[in-house]
Amino acid sequence: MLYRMGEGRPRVLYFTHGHPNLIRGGAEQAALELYAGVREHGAFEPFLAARTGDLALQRPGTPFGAVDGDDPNQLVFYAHLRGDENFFQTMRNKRFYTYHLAQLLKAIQPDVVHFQHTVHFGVEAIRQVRVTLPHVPIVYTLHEYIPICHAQGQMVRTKTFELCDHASPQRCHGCFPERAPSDFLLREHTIKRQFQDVDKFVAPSRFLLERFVAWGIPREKLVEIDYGREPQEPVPPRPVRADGKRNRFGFFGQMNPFKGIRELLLAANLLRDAGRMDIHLDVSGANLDLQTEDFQHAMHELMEAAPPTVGFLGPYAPEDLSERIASVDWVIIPSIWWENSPLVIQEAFMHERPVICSNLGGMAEKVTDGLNGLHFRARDPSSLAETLTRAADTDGLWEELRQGIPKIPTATEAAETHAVLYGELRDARSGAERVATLA
Amino acid sequence: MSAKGYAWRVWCRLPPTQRRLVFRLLAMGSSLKVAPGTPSQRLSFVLSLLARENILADGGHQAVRRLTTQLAQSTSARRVIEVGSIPAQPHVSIVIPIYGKLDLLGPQIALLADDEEIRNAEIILVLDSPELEGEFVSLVHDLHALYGLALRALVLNQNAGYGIANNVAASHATGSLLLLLNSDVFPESAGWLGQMTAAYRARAKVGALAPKLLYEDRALQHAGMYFEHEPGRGWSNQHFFKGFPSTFASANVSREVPAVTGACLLIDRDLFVRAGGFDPVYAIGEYEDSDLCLRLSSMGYPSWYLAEVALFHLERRSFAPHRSRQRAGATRHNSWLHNNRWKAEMERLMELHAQKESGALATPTPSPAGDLPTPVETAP
Repeated sequence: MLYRMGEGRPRVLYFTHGHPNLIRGGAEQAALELYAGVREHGAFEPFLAARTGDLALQRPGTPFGAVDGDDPNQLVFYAHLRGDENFFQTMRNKRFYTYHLAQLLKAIQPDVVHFQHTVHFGVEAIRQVRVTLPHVPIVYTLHEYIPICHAQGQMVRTKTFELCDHASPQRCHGCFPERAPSDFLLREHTIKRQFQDVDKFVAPSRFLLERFVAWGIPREKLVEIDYGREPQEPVPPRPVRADGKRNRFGFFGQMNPFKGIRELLLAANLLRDAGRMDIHLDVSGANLDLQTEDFQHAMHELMEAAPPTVGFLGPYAPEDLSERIASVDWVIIPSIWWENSPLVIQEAFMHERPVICSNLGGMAEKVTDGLNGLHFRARDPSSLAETLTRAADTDGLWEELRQGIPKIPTATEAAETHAVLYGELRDARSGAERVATLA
Repeated sequence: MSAKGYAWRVWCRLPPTQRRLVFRLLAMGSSLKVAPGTPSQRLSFVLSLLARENILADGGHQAVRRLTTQLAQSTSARRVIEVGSIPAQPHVSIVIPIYGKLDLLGPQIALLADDEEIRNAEIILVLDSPELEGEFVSLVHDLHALYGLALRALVLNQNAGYGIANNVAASHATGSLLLLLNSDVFPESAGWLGQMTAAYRARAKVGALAPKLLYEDRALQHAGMYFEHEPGRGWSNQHFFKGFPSTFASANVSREVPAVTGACLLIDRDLFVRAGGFDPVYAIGEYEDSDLCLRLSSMGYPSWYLAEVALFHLERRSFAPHRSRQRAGATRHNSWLHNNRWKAEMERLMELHAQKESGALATPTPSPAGDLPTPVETAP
C-alpha cells in the first residue's frame, strides 16, 4: 500500500461499524452525517472506514473494498467477530489489527482518529491506532451501552426484561448463565484497558454520559455532544378541520422487543376497548424479519388482532420520512430500554411534531414533559393509552407543545463542535509532547 | 482399536494380583508393552488406571515417579523465539505457562503491559501444548506489535504438565527473582510487581511470597495457604478465608503463612534452583506449589503472604478441562504423595501457626501515636 503524502488540511479518519448504503441503523446514519458535515465544514478533510460483515465483499489478501459510489475518501472493510470474539470485543487473529489496520492508518496518515464504534471489529483497533500513530488524538463516540452490557448494550436483563442500572460479573452471569462470572470481569477489564488509549469520549446524551462515568470512565474524558442532523424543511402541520382533533400518532423505528412496539399495540387495544375509534396510529416499522421467531410470531398475532385504527405502513427510507410524518400530529417513542439520543426524536422535532415517550433515560432527557412532549410510564400500556387520550382530547395542548420544540443541532454545527474538539485535542497532545521534549 | 483401548481391555481382565505385577513391571521400566508410546502417553495410561484402582502403594506411585522422571528428562524447549529487546540483567523473570488454550494470553498481556516494572522484567511464556505452536507464535508476534512488551516464548517438545513447564522456563530465566504467574492472573493497576519484590527483599529469610488474589466478585481467592487435618481424610490444602470479602480484616495482614499458592509466586531464583524447582512427580499439576513451599520451609525459608498487593485470579480458567479420568488419577496420586511426604512438616507448621495466631491475639495492638494507651488486661 502506498503511503499518502502529507499535505493539505488536517485529516480525520472515522471508523464506523456499518455503512448506511449497506445496512440501516441509527448510529451508522449519524456517523455518515457527521462525515458529510465535516466535509462541508472544511476545517478537516474526513475519511470514512466502515465495517461490513458481508464475506462476499472480501477479496483475497485484503479486507478493504469500496462503498458503492465514487467518493475517494470512503471505504469499507470486512470484519466479523464470532462467539468469544464478540463477547470480548476483540479478534482472535490479531493480524487484522497489526497488519491491515496499520496499513490503512499509514496510508491515510490521519491527524485525528474518531471511532464511531468498535463493535464487530473490536476494541483492539484503538490500540493499533495508538501504536501506529502515537501522537494522534483518538475520539470515541458512544452510541449505546455495549462496552458495559453484553446484551446488545441495552442494559435490560435478558431473562426478566427488567431494566438494569449497573453491570457486575454476578449480574451479567445471571443474564447469560452459560458464561462464567469471571468472563464478565475479563470483558470489562480488557475493554477498559483499550479505552485508556482514547483521548475523548463523545456522549450524545447526558444520561449516557453519566452511565459511563458510573462505569468508570473518568468524567474529564467525556464530553456531551448531541448528534447533528442535515436540516429538513419542516413539513406543514396535518390539515385538520377547525374543530378537528390532533389525534393521529406515528411510530417510526425498528420492530424489535426493545422499541416498545408491543406495548404500543396493547395500548391501541385498550383504546379500542374504551371505544376510542377516533385515535389513529401509523406504524412505520422495520426489521421485524430479523427478530426471533417467538417475537415475530407474537407480533404477527398482535398485528392481526389490532383495531382498524392502526395502520401498518412498513419500513421507510430516510427520504420517505417527511411524507410519512406529514400525516401525523405526534410521534410516539415507547422504548422499554434506556435509549441514548434517539434520532427519531430529532426527526420529529425537525418537523415540529411533539413527542410522546417513555419516562426513561435518554428519551426523558431529550423530550421535556409538558414543554415539547409528554411522558408516560415506561412499559405501561394503560399509561400510554391515557397519555394518547389526553394528547388527542386536550384543546390547545398540541399547539402549546409545538411552541416548546427546541432547535436540533445541524450537521454543520455538530461538525464545527467536533472541529473545535479535534483542534483542542491536537493542541493538548502537541503541548504534552513539547513538555516531554523539554523535560 | 487404539493401543490404549486394547491395553485397557487386557487390563480389565486381569485379576488384582496380576495388576499389581503389571505395576511393578511398569515401575521397573519393563519392556512389557502394556503401555506403549511416549512417557507422556504411558503416564496418561497409568493415571487413568489409578483413577479406578487404589494401588498407589502397590507400585502405582513407583510407576508415576518413574514415568514423570522420564517425562521431565525428555522435556525441553524445542523452539525459543524472542520478540522485542528483552532487558539485560532483569531483576525479575516472569514465567507464564500456557496449556490447552490461548484465549487468556491476549487479555493478560494487554493488562500487564502498561507498567514500567513489567517492561523492565523478563517475560517468559512457555507453551505446554505443542500442538498450538503455530497460533501461539503468531499471537506472540501480534501481541508484541500491539503492546510493545518484549517476550521470550518457549514451545515445549511435548505436553509435560505444570511443574515441568515451569522448571524448563525457569532454566531459561536470568532474573535474580522468579515470578511464577498463572495465565489467569491479572492486575488491576500498575506497580504491583515492585511492591512484591520490595517486600521480598525486605525480609531476611523468605522462601515463597504470594499476594492477595481475588475472584471476579472481589471475594478472596488466596490470602495464604494452610493445612488441615481431618480424621479419616488426612491432610488437605486450604486457603485462608477463601470466598470472604477482600476487605475482611484478618486477610489484610501480611504475615508468615504455612504455604502460598503457585498462581502468583515470587521466589529467589537461586533458591528455587537449590530447592530443585517443582517436583515433576506431581503429575499434570496440583500440589506442586505447596510441595515446594514445604520443602523451602523445611530448609528454613518460610512462606510469606503479602496483603498489600491484590490481583485477580480467575481460578481454574487457565487450563482447558483435562480428560477427567487422568485428572482424577493424578489427584488421587498427588494428594496421597503430598500427605505421606509432608505429614510431619505440615504438623510442625500448623502448630507453629497456631502458636503465632494465639500469640498475636494475646499481644495488644500498638495504639496509634497520640492516643491514650489501651489498658491491657492481665491474667490473674
